[in-house]
Amino acid sequence: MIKLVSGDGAEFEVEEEVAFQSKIIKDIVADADDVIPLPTVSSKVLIQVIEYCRKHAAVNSFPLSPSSSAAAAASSSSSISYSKPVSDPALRAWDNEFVKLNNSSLFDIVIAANYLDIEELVDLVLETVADRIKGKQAQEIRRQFNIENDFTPEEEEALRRENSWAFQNN
Amino acid sequence: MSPLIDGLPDEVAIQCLARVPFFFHPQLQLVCRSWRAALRSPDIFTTRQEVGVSEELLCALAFEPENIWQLYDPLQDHWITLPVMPSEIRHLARFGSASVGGKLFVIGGGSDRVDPLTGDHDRIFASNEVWSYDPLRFEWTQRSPMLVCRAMFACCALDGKIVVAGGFTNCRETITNAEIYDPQLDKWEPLPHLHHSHSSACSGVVTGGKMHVLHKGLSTVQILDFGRKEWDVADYGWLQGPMAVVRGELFVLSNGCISKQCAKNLPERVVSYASEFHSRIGFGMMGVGNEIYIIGGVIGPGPRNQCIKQLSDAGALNIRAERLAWRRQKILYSNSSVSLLVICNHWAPPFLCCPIPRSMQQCEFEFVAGAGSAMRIHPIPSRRGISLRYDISAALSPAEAVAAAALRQAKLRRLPHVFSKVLELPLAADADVSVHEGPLGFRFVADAAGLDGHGVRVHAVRIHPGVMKVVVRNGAAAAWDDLELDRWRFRLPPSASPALATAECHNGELVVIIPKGEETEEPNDESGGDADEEDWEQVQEQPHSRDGVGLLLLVL
Repeated sequence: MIKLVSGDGAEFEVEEEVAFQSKIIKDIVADADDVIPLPTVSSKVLIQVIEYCRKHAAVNSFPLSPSSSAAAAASSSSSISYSKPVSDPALRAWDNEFVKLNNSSLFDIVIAANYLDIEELVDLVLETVADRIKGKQAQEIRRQFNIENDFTPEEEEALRRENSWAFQNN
Repeated sequence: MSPLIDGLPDEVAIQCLARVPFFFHPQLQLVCRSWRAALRSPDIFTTRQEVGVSEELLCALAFEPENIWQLYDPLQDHWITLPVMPSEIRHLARFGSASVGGKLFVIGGGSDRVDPLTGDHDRIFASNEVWSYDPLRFEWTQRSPMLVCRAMFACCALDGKIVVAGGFTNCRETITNAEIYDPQLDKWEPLPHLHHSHSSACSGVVTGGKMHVLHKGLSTVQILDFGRKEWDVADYGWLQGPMAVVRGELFVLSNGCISKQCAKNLPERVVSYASEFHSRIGFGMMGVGNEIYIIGGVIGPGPRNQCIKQLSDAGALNIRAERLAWRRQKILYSNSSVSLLVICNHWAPPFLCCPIPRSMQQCEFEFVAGAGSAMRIHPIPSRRGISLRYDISAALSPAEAVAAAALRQAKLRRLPHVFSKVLELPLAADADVSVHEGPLGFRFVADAAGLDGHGVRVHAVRIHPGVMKVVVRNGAAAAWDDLELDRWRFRLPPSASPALATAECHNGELVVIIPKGEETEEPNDESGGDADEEDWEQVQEQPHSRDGVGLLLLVL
């Protein structure tokens, strides 16, 4: 068991395979003790991150064990890439539920995940935010992220002209 | 400066923006100045590559609209129109293209413009101009010129550099020179010469990590050994025809079949029949993702179809699918205010494919190419409703395919004649014109509303060596603008005598009569009539182009 301490002092005991979803923790544990202070991560965020890691540790430990991945490779699908391992539909669905949060909660998670170097979680959250951006009008994006429009109307008009194809309602 | 996204460090925010597909970037750039700056920085390109979200875009340059590149985004199924390429060469053709470092490079080539008044070609046959387009910044930049002017040459992206080889000079002589371009240094350097040239269009294809130079009509290929900086000559017994690389494998369209081009004299493997493209010439062919795209071109006349149809559609064949079937694609250039035409310009690279970053990262546009030939019959309005069935692959038996292939070969040989004479009337393309063919000639009758009955004239114009166009114009000098796309046109058989054509307005009807003369057969051009330089010279000595130097007219 590994003990994680959040920025506000709360302690969380987690199994190694859960904590090792974070590459940083894996490295720290390799050459230090089992109590790991995470001063920049609040307990609210840490709970969510641990929840994610627990789920993924449970799912990943099975299909990605060396024997089963070798078997998968042998069963003709030699081109399968493991760089994006979230191919399990049930896990994918779980992930989709997991990211149903508002932007600022997602940002906190992605900052923590980035800090803890949990690549899959970073990908998941950033893709979610990117999905929320794509297909939106500039005005909607500004509203969504509280961004001030600092273009003059002329500049904005020039930008629109430059890429008129992108602003036609197709 | 305020953060890109409030609550996220910029390095994380950049990764987020990089994941938004390229198609949406113009909207993103409108959000605020810091977003615009971030999205135009080279970091976005690098990030997209790192995160593995690069996209591939297909690039096409059509004959019309002039010098306007269009990118096809397969993810969004959308065509994107680029700003006009600021070259001074009109109707750029015979150029080379490649995609390196997320940019599109357009290299060399010459003008395909024909003077509407005299029928003369523009003087620029080959140039050394180099342009690059940055899809992140939406701008064209002129780059260092090639060491040698060239047209119809092999051009490939190789290890982040661009290699060009062979082709023709501005004096239309073949050359064996090769050179290599470093986009980072903006510098061209000579490479060893090819071992041989051939007086035909030359193209390049990269397969197995090596550049192969092919000449139309030659079975040998010349392969660049990058390490030794040497060209090796080999004969793989490759089929000739437009080629495309899909996932590293080379495919060729030959005899109406898409076949896998196997190296080293192995028998080729037919993967699909492509009889829809049977009478189509001047198209572009390119691999994008798992698919082969065939785009644009013109359809030559067949038994039921007398006109030349210019096409702006595309077909796609997924090579990896279990059951191969052609899928109809959206029409090129969906801007309703302009007539859409695609005529490609030569065998090699008018059509490119660029993997533009899927977010923006990989911008390794690999431009492959393939396209048209010397058939430049001019703007016929595109018909939007052209319906093509692509799902033939399943329906054709091998025997039928062989028969179709044989038929096709015969057709191809006739094509040069087919295009040799064309009639153009001062009417909209969809005008109602009745056509009668008698033993002595053709008679065309149309409603002459809106025409000045006294000003109608007939002009026979040589628009290309061996190609005559009979133009009926409505008097005024201003009407000499050949850029008008929306014109009624009709292909004339070789037996027609354009020089003896007459036109008159009678009782509100325009009547044009084109007599048949003696069969003035074109010199038989065994090579298939493509832009062989030797043929050009011969054709220019043709009797019927000598007698009028382009412009004959009869006034009623």
